[in-house]
Amino acid sequence: MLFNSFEFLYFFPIIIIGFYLIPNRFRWLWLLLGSYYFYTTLEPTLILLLIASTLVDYFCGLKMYAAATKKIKKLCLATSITINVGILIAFKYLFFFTASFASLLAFFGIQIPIDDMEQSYHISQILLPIGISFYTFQTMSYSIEVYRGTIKPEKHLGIFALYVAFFPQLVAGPIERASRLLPQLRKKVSLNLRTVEQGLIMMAWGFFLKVVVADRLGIYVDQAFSNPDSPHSLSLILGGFFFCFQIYYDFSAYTSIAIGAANVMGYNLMQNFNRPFFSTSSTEFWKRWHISLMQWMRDYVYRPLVIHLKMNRLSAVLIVFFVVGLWHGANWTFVVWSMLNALLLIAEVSTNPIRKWLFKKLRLPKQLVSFLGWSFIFSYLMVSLIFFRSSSIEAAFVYIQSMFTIGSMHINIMGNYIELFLSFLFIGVVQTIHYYKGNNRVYELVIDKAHYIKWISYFGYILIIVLFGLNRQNSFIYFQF
Amino acid sequence: MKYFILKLMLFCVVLVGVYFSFMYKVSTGYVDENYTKFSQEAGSLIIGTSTASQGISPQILEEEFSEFNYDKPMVNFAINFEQSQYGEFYLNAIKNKLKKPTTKGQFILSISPASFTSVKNLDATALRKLEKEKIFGKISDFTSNPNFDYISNCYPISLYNAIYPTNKWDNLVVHANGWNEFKLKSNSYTVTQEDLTLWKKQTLEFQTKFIKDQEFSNLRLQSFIETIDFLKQRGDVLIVRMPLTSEMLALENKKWKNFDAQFDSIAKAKNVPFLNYSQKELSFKTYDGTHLISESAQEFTRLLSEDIKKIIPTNTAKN
Repeated sequence: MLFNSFEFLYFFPIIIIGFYLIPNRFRWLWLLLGSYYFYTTLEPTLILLLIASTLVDYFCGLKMYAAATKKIKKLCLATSITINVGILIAFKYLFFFTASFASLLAFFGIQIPIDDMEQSYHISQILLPIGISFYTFQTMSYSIEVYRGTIKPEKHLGIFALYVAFFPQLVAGPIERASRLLPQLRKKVSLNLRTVEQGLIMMAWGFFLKVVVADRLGIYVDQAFSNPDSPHSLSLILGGFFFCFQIYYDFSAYTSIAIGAANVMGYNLMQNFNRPFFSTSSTEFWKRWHISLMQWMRDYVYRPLVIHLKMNRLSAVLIVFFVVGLWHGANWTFVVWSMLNALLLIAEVSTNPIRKWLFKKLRLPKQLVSFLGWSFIFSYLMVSLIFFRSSSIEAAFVYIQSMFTIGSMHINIMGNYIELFLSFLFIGVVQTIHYYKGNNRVYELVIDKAHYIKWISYFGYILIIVLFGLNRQNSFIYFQF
Repeated sequence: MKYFILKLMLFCVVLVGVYFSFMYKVSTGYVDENYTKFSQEAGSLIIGTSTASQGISPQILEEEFSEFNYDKPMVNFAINFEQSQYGEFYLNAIKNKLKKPTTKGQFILSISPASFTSVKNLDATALRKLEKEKIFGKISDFTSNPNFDYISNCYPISLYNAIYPTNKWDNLVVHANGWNEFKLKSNSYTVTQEDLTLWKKQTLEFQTKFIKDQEFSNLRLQSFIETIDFLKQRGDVLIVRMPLTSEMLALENKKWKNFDAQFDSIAKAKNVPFLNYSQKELSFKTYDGTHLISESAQEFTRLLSEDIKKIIPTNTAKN
């Protein structure tokens, strides 16, 4: 079920009321059943995959901990990783890899019919198990941590299953670590009205981001990207600009709702964003964007490559970003987007001393340097995200070419200036709030204020959501990953 | 605790109240081009895609067949090729759209290749999943007025349009019986020759691109046959292929060579008339190569009525 669906409006209160009424020792069961129900409304049969992944890592974790030799430990870890990566490949990448291989053969003059294969790939996208990349990464992190000895395996199968399937973050993260979430799921939670209110405000903020802002921007973005060869170059630039904010708000909305929903039950999920669009360097951006994934990559891909395999950092960064690109989807467009960002990161880190020296020599004010850095990073990100959004690399190149071809200044491709104005207005409002409160302390705008201010805010919120929300019940972009 | 729950309840009540108030306000004015197709029970139906939605006027059919006493009202329940291709959900909507006692309805099933296509190699599960995202899959109420089910699930824009509508285009007149009438001239805009040339070019380009990735879906064909079987129990069924320009016809014929022959044999097997206007040299005007403009739609509906009268046994139909 989608957070922004009517089903969630009755599902969530039932879960919360049940959660606080049920004795603590049975709450895991209530939440687990709720989480499985939440998932089955999206993917009735593919829940078996989720359960399979859970069982594999549960038993591998226990075996690893009890293993007498390092060899057995390694075997258990290998089993866990092979099965999880296998699930990912089978359901997400198999047709992509075979189609790519066929294209490669075609490049060397060996033709094999790929038409049906491409279509099958298309079908696999339709039937792609939702959230597969998130929960497989989460279970793998558990197995790796048990292998490393940093955590003990969870003996309670139910609590472990809940750690994998916890509904607020099941389908689009944040990718939680066992060391953070498992102890919370075991502890007794008492009702704390302040935390509940805080969680509800964060959820409300997430709904606002999704139905009022991200989905609104999506209308313009869809229009712009459906005509990559449009002569209206300014509208294509605006389409690219809006897409940056659409994907950010869409994903940030999901995270806010997930964090808020967990807060209502007394749990804390990790943050996924920290004002990424205020970054003044690429390094800073990747520490602030999709934090849970980037930390996962750092701990389980980058560090092992550099520390254990003694690989040079540059190659390790390229590998990490290649994996990040593929993680987002079975399409080379994601890989190009990711690798473009890897190249920028490498260029930035390697030119850091020269740039510092140059700025010092030119006596440029710090604010100006930051502004230049911010402008460059944002523009670069905007161009790279065109690959992310486009259906193919060719379409992305056409889009970029049309964008930089001086054409008409027409921007009102939706034929609606009010919507265009609202899009800019809401971006301005959200960025201002994020600037002052960050992504994760938005509740502070309301929570400790006087009663009358609270009520004005709540009723104002209702009016904004009702009047300016879009009833599209669009899926969150990151669901497809 | 008590105060907190009261606060939450008040918030929810106000939210729901404001939401329904604005939905109601929207329903009293212009909603969108499809809303009127979902706001009444029907005795007779026009089914198909956008060519039928804009090309067949229920009012003219009701007038032309007034002496035949077909169940009323006749509603144009055709939307477009994205929303109303033949399938499980469309059939379910048709079943729920009809008045319960209807046994003497008139049902015009418009067909074109676009009504039967799907992405290649889709199995029943994948097709069902895609169909569920469309209007007929999203809603279960096809007859209420106001239809909150439709507005809450399918209204594509914000509810501030209840106060300040921004989605209405005067050239497309939405009738209460579901007919979408396209006028070349309205109070706010007159379609130019340049517009017509551009739209025709864009439509042809779009169709060429669209057809490439599509195949004929036997699942849809099966649903179409089930639709005929169901509607035959409720009245007279007729299959129609709408007129279209020679370029569009050539495009469709190139991809689906035996389309007409296939439906001719289905019509014979099911014992229902099949009127095919696609091959005929007719002078109807379209604004984009496929959709008839107002005058032509009215003219076509009259021609259709005359042709139907010729083939329906008068003595049986008038009873």
